[in-house]
Amino acid sequence: MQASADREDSDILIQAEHLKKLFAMKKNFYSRPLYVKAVDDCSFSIRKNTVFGIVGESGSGKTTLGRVILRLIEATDGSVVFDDTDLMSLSNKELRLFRRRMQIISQDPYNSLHPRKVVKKLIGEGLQIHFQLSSQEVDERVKNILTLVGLREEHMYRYPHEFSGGQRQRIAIARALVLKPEFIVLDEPTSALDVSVQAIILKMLKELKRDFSLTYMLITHDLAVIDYMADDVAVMYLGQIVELGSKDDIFLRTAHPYASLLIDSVPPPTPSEHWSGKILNGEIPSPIHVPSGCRFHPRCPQVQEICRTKEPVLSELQPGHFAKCHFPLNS
Amino acid sequence: MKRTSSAAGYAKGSSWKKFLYERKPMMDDMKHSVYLWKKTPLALIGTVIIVLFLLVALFAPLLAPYDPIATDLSRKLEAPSAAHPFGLDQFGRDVLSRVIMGTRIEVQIIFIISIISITIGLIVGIVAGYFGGVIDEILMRITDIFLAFPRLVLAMAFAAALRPTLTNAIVAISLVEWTVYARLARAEAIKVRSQPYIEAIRALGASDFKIMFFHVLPMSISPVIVQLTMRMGTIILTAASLGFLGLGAQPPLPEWGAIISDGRSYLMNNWWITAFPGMAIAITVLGFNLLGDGIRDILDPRIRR
Amino acid sequence: MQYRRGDLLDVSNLRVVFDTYAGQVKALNGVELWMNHGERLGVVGETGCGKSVTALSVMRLIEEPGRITEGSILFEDKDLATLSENILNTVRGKDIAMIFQEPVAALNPVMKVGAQIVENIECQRKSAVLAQGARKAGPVTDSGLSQKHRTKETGSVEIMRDMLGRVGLDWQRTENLYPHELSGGMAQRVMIAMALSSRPKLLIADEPTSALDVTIQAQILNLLNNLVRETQTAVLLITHAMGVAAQFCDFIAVMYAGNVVEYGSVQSIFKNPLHPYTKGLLRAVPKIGRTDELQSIPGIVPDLISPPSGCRFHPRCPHRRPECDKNQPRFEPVREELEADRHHVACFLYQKDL
Repeated sequence: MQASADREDSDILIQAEHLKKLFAMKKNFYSRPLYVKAVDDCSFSIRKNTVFGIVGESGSGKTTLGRVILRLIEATDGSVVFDDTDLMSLSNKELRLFRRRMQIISQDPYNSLHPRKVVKKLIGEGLQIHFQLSSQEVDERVKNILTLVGLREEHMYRYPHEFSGGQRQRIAIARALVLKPEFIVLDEPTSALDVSVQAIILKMLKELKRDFSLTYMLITHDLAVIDYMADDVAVMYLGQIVELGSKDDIFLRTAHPYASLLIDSVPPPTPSEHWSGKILNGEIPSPIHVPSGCRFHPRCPQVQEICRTKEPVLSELQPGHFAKCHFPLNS
Repeated sequence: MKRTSSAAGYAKGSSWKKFLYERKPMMDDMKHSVYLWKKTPLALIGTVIIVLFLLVALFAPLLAPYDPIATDLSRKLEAPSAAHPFGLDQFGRDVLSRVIMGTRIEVQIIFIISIISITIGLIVGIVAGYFGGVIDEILMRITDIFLAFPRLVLAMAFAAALRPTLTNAIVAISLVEWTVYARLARAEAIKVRSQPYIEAIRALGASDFKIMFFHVLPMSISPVIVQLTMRMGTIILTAASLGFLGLGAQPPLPEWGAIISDGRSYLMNNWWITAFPGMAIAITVLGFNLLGDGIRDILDPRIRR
Repeated sequence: MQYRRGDLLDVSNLRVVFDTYAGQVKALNGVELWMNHGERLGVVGETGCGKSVTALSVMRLIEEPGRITEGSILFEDKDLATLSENILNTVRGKDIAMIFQEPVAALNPVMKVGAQIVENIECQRKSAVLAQGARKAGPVTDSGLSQKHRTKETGSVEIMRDMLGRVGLDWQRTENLYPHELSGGMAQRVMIAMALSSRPKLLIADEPTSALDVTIQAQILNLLNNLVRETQTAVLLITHAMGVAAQFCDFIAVMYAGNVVEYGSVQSIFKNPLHPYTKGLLRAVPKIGRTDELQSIPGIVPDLISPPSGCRFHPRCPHRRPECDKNQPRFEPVREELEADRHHVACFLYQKDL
């Protein structure tokens, strides 16, 4: 297949292997800790200059996965190789310097900017950490980056609360971009924004990716955004990747019943298009007491006996298209 | 409209205009604070009291009509009169002059104690709150040890062990006071450290030291400042109590607590020796409390926006 | 009595302002919308366009520093904008119920959910009795309630259990839970049960699914769809999600900066959007399988303390004309279309007489 041929040719920027993150929860001082399996054995690779989309409901562990990749949260187990550098083996100091190459833009533009710092300081902060620059040079670079993200020079001395949500997200993008990173984790970059603003920001992110040959990991619950932005997609459920493949694999040749129902849940924004109305029953179970066998079996419409007892493996259906299901669809 | 005109000013204005433009948000913020402050009359009263208190301390030598230490045994225990509005004490010293000069000692006490205790408190609290885990446990248990004793008793023990002087009283009170700020700063630091903007700074590659003291600290400081203002009244009371018990400022220093202590045996017949410094303490404590309440309201983000 | 456009709800020229430190926020600037019994009207628009304020105004829940300055809110035969608080209370909750975006926050945290629903049912009954009393014999005090009403109270628990069942919850498991023990989806179901227990004529749903995951959103919309069809309840759905509005509603009102700029049947709005804002909004919505580039609307939402003169959209409008910044365009029917579509637009591009 064409997609798989591409895959082997292009270089891999990030290789994540068996990532695991357990959070210990204690009811009280004496009790044995319970473990929240936020991320449970996730492996994937991200190709250079592509957008790797991660989609899932809240509680699927997608946000934790984004943090673990950047070592903003220490993984319990597993490895992340970033362009030949094993991130897990870096010392704290090395990691701090390495952070220039990987940035994050987070969901909430209202809280991701320090409320007591003016824009110049917010954006210049990273420059001062990573580059030895005079204050004129910092000024110059901040000005340039502000123009690049569609803000103006005079915005430099304003506080975040004076900006709208979209403008704040532009500031957050400028802050990440000013360091000239190679990889950016976009954690729900537009879910707090209105649709018209979302359109501007998504378009801008696409253009920036092209102009600066960036690689994105896009975390979102919005399948339409994934469809618009991503090249490869991973669908997460309860801390695990249940389906992984190119965008077309996921949307056109959907294999996992969860992914299929997730796509069907989205109401199409035109009244003429009939909404299939297939409903995924129940709610995502607690990540502390995960179901036995296939984690999706209590909600799965085509559950079989084996699903309750045996956990399926993430197997390759077609080159580059993986699903974690005993009875994948369309096969 | 306003915004575009100032933006134009920024583009082609002089460096002075640029300077003003850069500080415009800060000025707007301050204007808003002043507006809120004017809307709370009690804070206004508190501010007036404290400003008067500070002015009296500043100009004490000019305001005091007599030498506060000069004794005149021939006129001892004279009742208040036009020449001596607050009367004379058992050594014939002018009580008014002593109370006025006393403000200087009180300001000194408050100032030094605040600086020492807030420095220790903020460092301990922010380090504990930011790192959490074992570091937090250790620092907070140490704080608990200090908190476990009644404040005044601990201060008394320190002052007694270190020889009773004013300096030692200040050290003693500081050693008790910092725990309050440590607890508060820790609670705030815990709240702030999980905010997305702190994560964002961490993702930029900033060091823990930088994050703690340049990012977490500015966001944690408002409740500490409010508490500090509210506690200033208590600090005066504690200092006065130590003075009263003979563990603080020593005679003939005109510290208010010590003056009251001096006059207590004459309370029945010569009330003025104790009543006036007592009133001075009460009014100052009231002023600080009102001011503290006011600052709390002004800094309250729910009221601000 | 003026000409009625909708026999259930007719909001005309509704203006609401909020007095703040920075100045007077002109939140609603002559809102026009109406609906008949059993219809579903979707109010769509972006943050700050006034869609929630509209919903709250219909319930007359606008609180200080906000106030309704002008306009009427005709609900059946009453004008809610001028009704006294006492009579209003017999309408609120009974004839008009409301569900919110944050269901957990809307529930009392220290009361079991079953008890909350029962309390709500009894409260509605009491106000119904009071309303009857008020009509017949002037004010009635609490103690003056009839014996008949008291004996009926025993039925409340049964109604509560029935309602929980109908929203897909097992009453035996749910009625003794506290709100914090519910997931977002369950809490929204409880809210729906509570809102529909009084058999309202109008249900106002303010972003009922915005805080929920897509799969849960689909469940809730499906449930709501079935319940209101059964009971013939009209729904005023406030949402920013075009997909939700397209799939759930019969009619759509598009709001921008405190005005309804376009109103009409869901088909007419989505197939033949007329107002430049509606057009822009629809072009900005990402959709699975969409291949063309997203289009955005340039500029930002205006500050409602000093809103643009004339049409509030004119600074961002690609089809701006000289008259746009002078007068506010009239909200007029689109003549070429079927009357049943009720297609109305407030834009100079479509005002023939100019």
